[in-house]
Amino acid sequence: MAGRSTASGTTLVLRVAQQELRHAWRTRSTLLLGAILTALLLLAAVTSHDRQVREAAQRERYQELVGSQFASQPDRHPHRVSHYGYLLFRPVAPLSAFDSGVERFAGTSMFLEAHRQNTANFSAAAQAGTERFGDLNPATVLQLFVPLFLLVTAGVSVTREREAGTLALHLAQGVSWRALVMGKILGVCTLVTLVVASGLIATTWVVSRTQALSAVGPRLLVLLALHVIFWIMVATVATLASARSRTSREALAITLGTWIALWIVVPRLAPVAANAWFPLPSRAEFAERVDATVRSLGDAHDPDDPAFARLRQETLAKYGVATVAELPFNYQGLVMQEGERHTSEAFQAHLDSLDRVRARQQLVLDLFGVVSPFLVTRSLSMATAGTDPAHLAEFERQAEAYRYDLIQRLNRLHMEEVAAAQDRYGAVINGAPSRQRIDQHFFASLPTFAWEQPSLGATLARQARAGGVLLLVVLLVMAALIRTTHPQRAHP
Amino acid sequence: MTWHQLTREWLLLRRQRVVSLGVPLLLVAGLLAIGNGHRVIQRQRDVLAEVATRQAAEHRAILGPQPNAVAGDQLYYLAFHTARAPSPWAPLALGQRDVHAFNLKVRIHALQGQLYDADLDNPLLTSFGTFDLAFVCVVLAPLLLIALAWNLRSGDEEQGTLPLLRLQAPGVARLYAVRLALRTAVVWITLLVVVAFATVWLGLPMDTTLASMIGVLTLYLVGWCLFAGLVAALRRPSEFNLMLLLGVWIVATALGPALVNVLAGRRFPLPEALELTVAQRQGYHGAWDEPMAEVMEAFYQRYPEWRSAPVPADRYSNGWYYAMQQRGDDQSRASAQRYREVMEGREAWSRSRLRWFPPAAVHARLNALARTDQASYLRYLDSVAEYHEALKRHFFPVIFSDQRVSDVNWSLAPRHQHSD
Repeated sequence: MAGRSTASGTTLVLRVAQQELRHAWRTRSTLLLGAILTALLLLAAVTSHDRQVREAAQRERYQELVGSQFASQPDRHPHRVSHYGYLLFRPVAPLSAFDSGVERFAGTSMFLEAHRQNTANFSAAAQAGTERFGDLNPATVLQLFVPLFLLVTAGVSVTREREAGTLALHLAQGVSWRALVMGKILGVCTLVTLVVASGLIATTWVVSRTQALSAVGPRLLVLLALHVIFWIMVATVATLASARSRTSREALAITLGTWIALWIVVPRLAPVAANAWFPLPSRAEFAERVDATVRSLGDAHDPDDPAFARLRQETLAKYGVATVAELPFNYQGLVMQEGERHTSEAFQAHLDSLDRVRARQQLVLDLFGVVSPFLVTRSLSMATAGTDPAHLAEFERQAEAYRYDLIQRLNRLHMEEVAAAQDRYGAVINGAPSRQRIDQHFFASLPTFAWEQPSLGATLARQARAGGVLLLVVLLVMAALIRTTHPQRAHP
Repeated sequence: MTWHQLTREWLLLRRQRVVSLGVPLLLVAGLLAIGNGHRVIQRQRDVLAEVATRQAAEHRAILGPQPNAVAGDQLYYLAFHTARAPSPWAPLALGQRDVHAFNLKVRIHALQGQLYDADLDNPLLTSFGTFDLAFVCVVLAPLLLIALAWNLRSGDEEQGTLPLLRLQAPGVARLYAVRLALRTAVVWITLLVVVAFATVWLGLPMDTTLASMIGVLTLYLVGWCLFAGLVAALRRPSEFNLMLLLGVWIVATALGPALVNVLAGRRFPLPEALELTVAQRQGYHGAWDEPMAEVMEAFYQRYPEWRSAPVPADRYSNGWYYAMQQRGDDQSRASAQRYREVMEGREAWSRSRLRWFPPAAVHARLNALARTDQASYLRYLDSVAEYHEALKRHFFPVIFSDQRVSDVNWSLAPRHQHSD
């Protein structure tokens, strides 16, 4: 008996969903909106992909140029090369064409040199003048405009029948209140799936033109699942608003107000709160702190610095010699190596403190996600696309690891290949005063930078909190669904 | 229309939930926006207020312990701070101030490597855009007007009260015109209250800039009012009107400007940013491998007055060092110039296209009036470049001599002055 009742319940849900689709098919405005959404999605995919390809090519070109310039530099003193340094251009993320995330708000080039850690420069945002309403990319369409379509369509789904009097008819004919609401949700979700399906397939095709589908496939699946969950949630909320409203006008006022509040206003307010509660130091304050720490550690360029006097004594004792001239290597190189270790640690400690502030700011944003699930959906989406702040931080981390290794290798060359006696501007080489220069093949054989894309698993693990918030919202919406669709709450 | 009728219309309007809910919300949003604008700008002002003491402390730490060091050697470490003081109206329209540098510091090394450090920020937060009065006026205010006006005529028609109105007032069109004007006035007055509050609270000068801002906003609302009237005159159902108004809002506010942005980036690509970094680095470091005579000759072309200053050919000297730094700027001058031209070209092109999207155009205009836009930033960069040049010319006598730190009157160094 119970089984039969469930089966018939399912049939009823399907029948209501079917009716909803049929109605949408007959309504010109719904079809028009659907067509607009599809066009928008295609436009976004094509322009976004075009930009990704161009930017990636441009950065690769300059990265190669910098690499060949580094490898083909003339004979030089190793410390000269430490200051010549290296330029890194941040690689474009594999799914940047789908969701450019915060990529355009972060620097694109990073200068690596001895003694200091520079931040990335030349963000696209600082070079463009217009208002930031999200880039025109598929993710914006799917997260900002598809929900609007859902809110409008689902918002009138129940009230339309209530106003026409067919709702009472359905209920009288034995369609349960719950089946009716569920059917509406299912219908609207199916509708939106049909509407964006072609756009999604086209987006996938566009993206897969530069990426092997096997490489980005899992990411695309996660993105699909994420957005489907998000849409079902939005459709449910809008249908519930419709179920509780007397008129379509009232329901529309609620759903459109919700869109304005949660998709337009809260996403602007949450960063304000995050900034106000956990402010970052200004660059001037930050530099002052770093300088103070670095200064307290001593100056590697100054041979008489007290901090480095101890190093000398220890080294002399270790090798059992009386003067640095008797050491089996160039002592000046060792001083540079030690100095680099000190300054790197100082910089890293201060940069870590910035990361802690940014992590708190992210926490604030995630908590706002309870109110505006758009925020956490966006976070999860750009993390999966590889364009979130964590990926930027990871790039800076890998760049720093590379910088430190490069500089210390050069310092080792300084120790081993440069004779202490010729480590000053004593000679004139090619018409210029010079310290001893070492053969350029030493520089050509130094390792180059290879960006390692964080795995999808590690990325998602880092987004556990955002995922938890999304889950919480889903549970809250389900609770509201169960409550509102309780048979006793049915109102025709 | 008599005063009595107008009062009656207002009483009718006031009872609507959209008004009793929407107007306070817009008011609160406006006040929050002012508060946030003030917070952001005040924080920058606080940082700028510290510039002089911070620089003095840094210089003391570098120069103090070594009075007998060669002054030219110590100059290597000395950074001179610049300040981009915000205009009084900056809190109303933050523009790009959150992503542009406002207190660069320069050493007398090659300039191009020092101009493009942005301030520390969190790209996650900046990516959402700023929350300021310009945003409230440009983006939110039209939404309230749409909420007030979408069923202006269609609502009466759908409720069946239109024939009744026709009986009461012969000129129904005029009645709707008055109602629409009244609704626009409600939004307008709400914004004026917010601006008035800002003027008093922030102590803004009541001058042409403020008047221009109010004028731009007034025109903007009038534009929306006319559009809403046009939509009502189409005599379509309320739902259609709502979709049309919202659709136009979305296209004009978000989609259109985003598309212009994309096209501008495509039409004016900026490889110059990367090129200029590469060129500057090659120029300076390449100079170490060139004969000193060539490097010095290039330097003298620019600064002939130092041709007779002694620069030893067989050992390191500061004159040679800064001539090599100059080489970096010389080599990247062309790409820096191109970078600048492309940025300006892109900005000009975008602005002319944005005319088709009034919200974005008005937003850009407000930012320009508050001098928080790209053009203001470029003017600041120019002032930094001028300052850098002045510093170099000021310190060349120190560099080309053997003065000790204690011989130099450091307080005579030029100071940077720039206000948006």
